[in-house]
This record gives sequence, C-alpha cells and structure tokens, in this order.
Amino acid sequence: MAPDPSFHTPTVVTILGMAVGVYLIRFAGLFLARRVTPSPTVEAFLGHLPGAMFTALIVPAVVQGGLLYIGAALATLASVKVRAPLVVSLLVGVGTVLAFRSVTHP
Amino acid sequence: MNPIDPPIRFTLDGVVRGYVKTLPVAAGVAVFGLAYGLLAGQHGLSLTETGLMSALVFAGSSQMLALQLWDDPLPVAGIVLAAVIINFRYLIMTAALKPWLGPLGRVASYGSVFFTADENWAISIAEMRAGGRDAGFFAGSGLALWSFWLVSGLAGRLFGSALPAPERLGLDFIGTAVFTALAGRMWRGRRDLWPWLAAGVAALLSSIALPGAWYLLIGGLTGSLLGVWQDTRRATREGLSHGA
Repeated sequence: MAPDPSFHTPTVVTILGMAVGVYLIRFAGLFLARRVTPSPTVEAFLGHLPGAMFTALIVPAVVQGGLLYIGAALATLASVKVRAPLVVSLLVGVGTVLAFRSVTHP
Repeated sequence: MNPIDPPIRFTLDGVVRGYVKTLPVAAGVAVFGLAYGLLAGQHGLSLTETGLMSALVFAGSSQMLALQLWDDPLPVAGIVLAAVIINFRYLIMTAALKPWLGPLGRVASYGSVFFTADENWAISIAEMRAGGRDAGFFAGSGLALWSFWLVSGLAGRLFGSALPAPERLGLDFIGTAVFTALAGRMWRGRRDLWPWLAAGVAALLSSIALPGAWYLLIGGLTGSLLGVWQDTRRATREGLSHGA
C-alpha cells in the first residue's frame, strides 16, 4: 500500500485495536447470554464498572483544573439533576468555564 | 416465552422504523459527535483517522477517553485497554438483547450487536419490552446513531480547525463535561455513593503517584470492587433477616 499522509501507523493500529476490542465485548455479551447466566457477583461488578470508571476519569481532571473546573463540573451535574438533555448539559459546563474566565480575565 | 407471541422477525420494515424512531436522539448525539471531531483535531488526528475511528469503534465514551489519553509517543496498549474496560457495560447490554437477537441467525445477530451504544440500546429495549417482535428495529436504531455519529465527527474535525484556541471557547472543558454529564445519568442512587467516592479518591491518588493511565484502571476497579462488596454484604444481611 502506498503511504498516505492522512494515516499515521500507530494511530491506525490504535483505532483497529479499539475497534476489535470493543466489538469483542458486544459479541461476548450475546454469545455468553446464549450459553450461561451470569452470577450475581459478576452482574454487580459490571453494573458498578461504568460509573466508577467515569468518576475515576473525571476527578483527577477536575481537581487539576482547580476551582474553575470544579464549579463547571458541579454546574454540569446540576443540569443533569434537572433532567436537561445531554446537549444542554454540555452547554452549561462549557458556558460556566467561559463565564468564569470572562470575569477573571476580561 | 409466551407461546401465543408471534415469532421474532428481522425485516427491512423494522430497520426503517428503528431508524426513524431514533432520529431525534441521533440529532442530540451529533452534538457530542461534533465535540469528538473537535477534540480529535486538537490531538492531531487526520480527517480520515477521525472518521475511521467513529466508523469502526462507534463508542463515544471509548473514543473520547482515547483522545484524553492521546500522547506522543502513543500509549497504544493503554488506550486499547482503557477503551475496552470503559465499555464492559456493553457485555450486559448485548446480553439483555437476547430475547430479540437470540433467535436470529449468526450474521443478523452478531452483525446487529456491532451497533450497541447507550442511546439506541435504551430505545430498543423499550420497544422490546413494549412487545415489539421485529429485531430489525435494533439494527435500524443503531444505524441511525452510527450515521449521525460518523457525519458529525467528520464535521467537527473539519469545522474545528477554523475555530480559535479551545480555551477561548471553553472547549478545553468539553471532554470533562461529556463524562460528567454521562456519569450524572448513570447515578443509580445512594448505593453508588461509596463506590464512586472510592473510585475518585483512588484515581486522584494514583494519578499523582503513577504515570500514564493507571489511575483510570485503579480508580475504576477500586470503586467497582467496593460496590460488589457492598452489594454482597447487603444481600447477605437481607438474606439473614428473611431467613430468620
């Protein structure tokens, strides 16, 4: 294959790895369900995993961003609490960051 | 299964109906797609690579997470591992689709599971519980999300380079905003409090002490294991009080 400037090999390998890995999970769920029933412990673990992963991702980023990010994250959460659609929540979060900045660095 | 229920089918009609019913949600997801495209540009992905990732991975949280971890040199294994782990939930989600996909042939069922994402899964499960018998609905619903996700990601990548520095628009926060909003929606009540706190604290401490993305694994596992321990203990206690 001729080298294409829009392809960077490690990037493509990463993308293909992600694609295969994520598809295998989708495949395995149905495949296993056709054969076995998961134990309550496994089910509980899988139930807790996404929330814990998301928290683990958010907390260091927010703490590193200081008060500005903490405030914006809380505003985002508040918008979720009042059942705002995803789009609105994103606008609230980004808007809070912008508003803070326009006050501190006008 | 109820013997008087008609058999599960997979028709083009069902695919179309699933597609149309998912359009409003897909339009909402497109905003998230724009954000992904923007971030992909900031991390140096080409237009082709941005589209390739959306088309083949088709998992918003994995893709955003990958970009968050994007670095030079690229931590390939870490990103793939994190992308897989954050989507372990798909395991239970496709398992829950068994009543629809189980009776289908291999190509239709294992082809359909490719389209599993939070939004179309939720819409399809609702349709299934309401008595829908056409499994084509799930594929159509997924196709709606997939097409919007791909196009909006490409649009964000194209449009993103025309924008000023991300800080000027507050866009440095958008990755965190997406995850914060998604996490808020995942909140299942008090039982999540301690696992989430533990995940956050463990992640924070390990992000200070360790290199790379280890904080993510350590935080996620700490929180989930605490959650399992908490659930098991509660189940045992309830079991004892019922058994007495």
